Amino acid sequence: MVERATWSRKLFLNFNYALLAFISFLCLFPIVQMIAISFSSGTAVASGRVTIFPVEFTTDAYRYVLRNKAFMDAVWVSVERVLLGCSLQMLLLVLIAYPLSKEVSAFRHRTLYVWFFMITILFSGGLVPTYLVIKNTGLLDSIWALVIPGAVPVFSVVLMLNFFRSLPKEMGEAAFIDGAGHWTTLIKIYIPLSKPGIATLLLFSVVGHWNSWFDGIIYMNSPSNYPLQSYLQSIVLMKQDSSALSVLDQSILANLSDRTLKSAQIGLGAFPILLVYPFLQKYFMKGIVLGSVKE
Amino acid sequence: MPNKSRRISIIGVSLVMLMSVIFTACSNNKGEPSTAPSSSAPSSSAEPSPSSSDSGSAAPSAGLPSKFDPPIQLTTAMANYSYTKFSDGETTDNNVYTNYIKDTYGIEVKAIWDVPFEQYEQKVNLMIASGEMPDFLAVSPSQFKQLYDAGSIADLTDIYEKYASDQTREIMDLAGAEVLESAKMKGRLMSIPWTGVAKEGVSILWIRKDWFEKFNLSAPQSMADVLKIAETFATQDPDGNGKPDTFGLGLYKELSENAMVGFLNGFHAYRDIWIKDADGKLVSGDIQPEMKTALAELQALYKNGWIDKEFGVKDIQKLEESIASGKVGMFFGNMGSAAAPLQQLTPENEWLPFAVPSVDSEPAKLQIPLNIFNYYWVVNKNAKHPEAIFPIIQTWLDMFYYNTSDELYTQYNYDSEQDIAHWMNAPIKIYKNKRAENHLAEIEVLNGGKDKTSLTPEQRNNLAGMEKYLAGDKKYWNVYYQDGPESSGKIAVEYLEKDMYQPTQFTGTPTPAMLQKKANLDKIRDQMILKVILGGSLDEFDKFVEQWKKLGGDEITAEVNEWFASTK
Repeated sequence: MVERATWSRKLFLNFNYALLAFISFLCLFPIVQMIAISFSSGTAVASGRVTIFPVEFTTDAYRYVLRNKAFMDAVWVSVERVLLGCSLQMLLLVLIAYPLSKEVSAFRHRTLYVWFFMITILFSGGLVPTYLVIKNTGLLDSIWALVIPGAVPVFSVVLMLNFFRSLPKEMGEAAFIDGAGHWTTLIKIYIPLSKPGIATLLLFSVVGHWNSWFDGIIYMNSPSNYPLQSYLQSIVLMKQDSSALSVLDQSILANLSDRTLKSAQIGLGAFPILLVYPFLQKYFMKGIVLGSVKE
Repeated sequence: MPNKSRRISIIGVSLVMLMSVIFTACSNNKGEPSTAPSSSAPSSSAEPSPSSSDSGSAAPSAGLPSKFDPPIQLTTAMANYSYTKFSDGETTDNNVYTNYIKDTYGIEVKAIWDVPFEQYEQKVNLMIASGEMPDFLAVSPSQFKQLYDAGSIADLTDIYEKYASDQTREIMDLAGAEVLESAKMKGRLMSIPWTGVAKEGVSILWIRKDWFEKFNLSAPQSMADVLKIAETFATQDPDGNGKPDTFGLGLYKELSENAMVGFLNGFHAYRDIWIKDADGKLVSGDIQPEMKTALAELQALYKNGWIDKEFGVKDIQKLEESIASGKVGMFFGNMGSAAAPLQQLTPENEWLPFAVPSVDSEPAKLQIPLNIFNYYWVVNKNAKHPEAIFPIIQTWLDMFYYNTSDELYTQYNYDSEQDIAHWMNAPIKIYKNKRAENHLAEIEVLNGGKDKTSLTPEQRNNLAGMEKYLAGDKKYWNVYYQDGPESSGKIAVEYLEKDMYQPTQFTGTPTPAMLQKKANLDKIRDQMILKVILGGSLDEFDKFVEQWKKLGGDEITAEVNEWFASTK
């Protein structure tokens, strides 16, 4: 299909590209600047001389951060949390979405179960009751407090459920005729066919777990158990209390409020999540079910 | 087939219901033991505080309680800066401070949790809501009131009389009489205030030395001089690049900071505090006519382009950038501005500190809020040994303020080699002014009046910096102008001696109308201030005053005066 390029079409395309390039620049600029700041010297940053390229290049900030035990501990907690949290989420997600994707004729009380889950999207207990539940079930100060409360991502269940429904029903029926039960059908037919959907939801799940900070601060009893984002939050938003200034050794605080250091830590914190994208990318192609059913 | 699936569904539904019941039951089970002791304990521990009262007015300070044997255990909650505070193997419950307190006083301190300051208040709220409370902890003024109303904190009146050390009392006195007063409820001492350093957090005028000398200026004696210097710096091209790209006075959008407040105080205008009027009634500083005068001057500065046209949207970082790039040569900062940020911003350019001058013959008074560091230390009513907090306070004072040994300083205060801030582990901290004291002590040694060994390690360190500066190493100018003979430390002494303070006269907990309406009133005040400076009519101020009164200001004033009458 060859396109005839009229001048107005060309103009439109060029304008379009320019606009999109500008918008992506707006998105990328803060990140690029942050990286530039993390590689610049403190005085250059303080005098506002850093834009896109590092000024007075140095890797001091990174060397300091990588030696910092608190930072590395936090990274480890985050990794642990993502591994545990995401595998639990994906497991429950599939197990819940599969039966709910069936028709009412095949699964009589489906509507009731759907409401059982949907109600949690509409209402939540609020901060204090949730905290009390976590506390009284003894999860406080353990990694499970970060994993279990969000173990069933209901919104993702809805997405997965619809994905299952979009698969030809006949394939499941064919499997049944060949003597497969529900488990076999799920594991051998539905899951392999749903890789794109699962990959997308896995990405949601990884990003969600990696980026959440509030639960870490609320449920953990000591900063040494914080996941990375909670740790970063407490560093980046540190109050510059002038009354504290005169008590604190000021060189310490100057050290802490250092923007290069903050940038380096934020950059390192965002890095692993950027790495995940390319690996999941290949599953984003549409699942191939074309031609599997003759109608 | 339909029959079977139906049965399965019913079983399924009932299973789900059953599970939710089990979970609820589970949580109930676990919940009870943790709440039970707090409700049943009062009878067992009610005796210590009243029994120890041998009429409060007895001779002060019998001293600290003797070492507990066998050791007792106290729980607390910690708030800290995100900074390295442990050496290898140390934890919140096992570090230099907890070990020292255990070995010296027989008190084991256990922290139930530890959290950065930013989240501390929220975490305490959650904890209070869950019905759990450690033996002692720091709480905000409104939490203090809440806990007092709920009857969950201990009366410290008698044990303070009996066990507080002289040094603790001295710090309470230094903070100001109103501070300890604010920790009382109905005349009984219900908490120990976490004293702050408000008296040394007030404004200081900093002027760049090379510009100051370039125009042969003399120390500003009045606000008129300050305005004149601002004009010179903005119009006479102090950086000599031939372009009118400099500003007279550094200002940024945070109106609550010294940069703004220092200027207002020079005109006897006070932002966000309560002052006494001629009739002895309390009035809000926000609506006084002095505010209008000060704003008119700022408006003129702005109109002439002598302050940054964009100050209203610039944060402190932007101001610091202007300072670093040599566009700003004068601003109201604090007593430590030389060390941070000026030393980092302009390492080669020295800055001179000056006391805030006044607009007239009456010396300027610098406004200070209630002098606490955000919190009060309260003790759980059920704690068996409330008096144990005093040895813990004493440990902090001994190690942080009165220690003169370098070795102990490294061990308990700050280890500069490994960059560990050990002091953050102290379970109870109260702050005290130290700039004036440091200045006096260091100067005495510098002039040869005294021996170095009498100094604290911090003072010795400052002294070494000053000596290096005097020997020609200009890198140490920041130490010299904070502690030397013509320094912010000297101004701190002057402020204290002349009592150049305007403390807020309202030191109670927020009144009902305040909780409801003050946030909005503050908002319209700050909008008005910005509007006027950016060139709005001065009538805006009068309009604001009217509005302020109508929108709850009068109600708050009435409540504040009611409180004031009740304290007399």
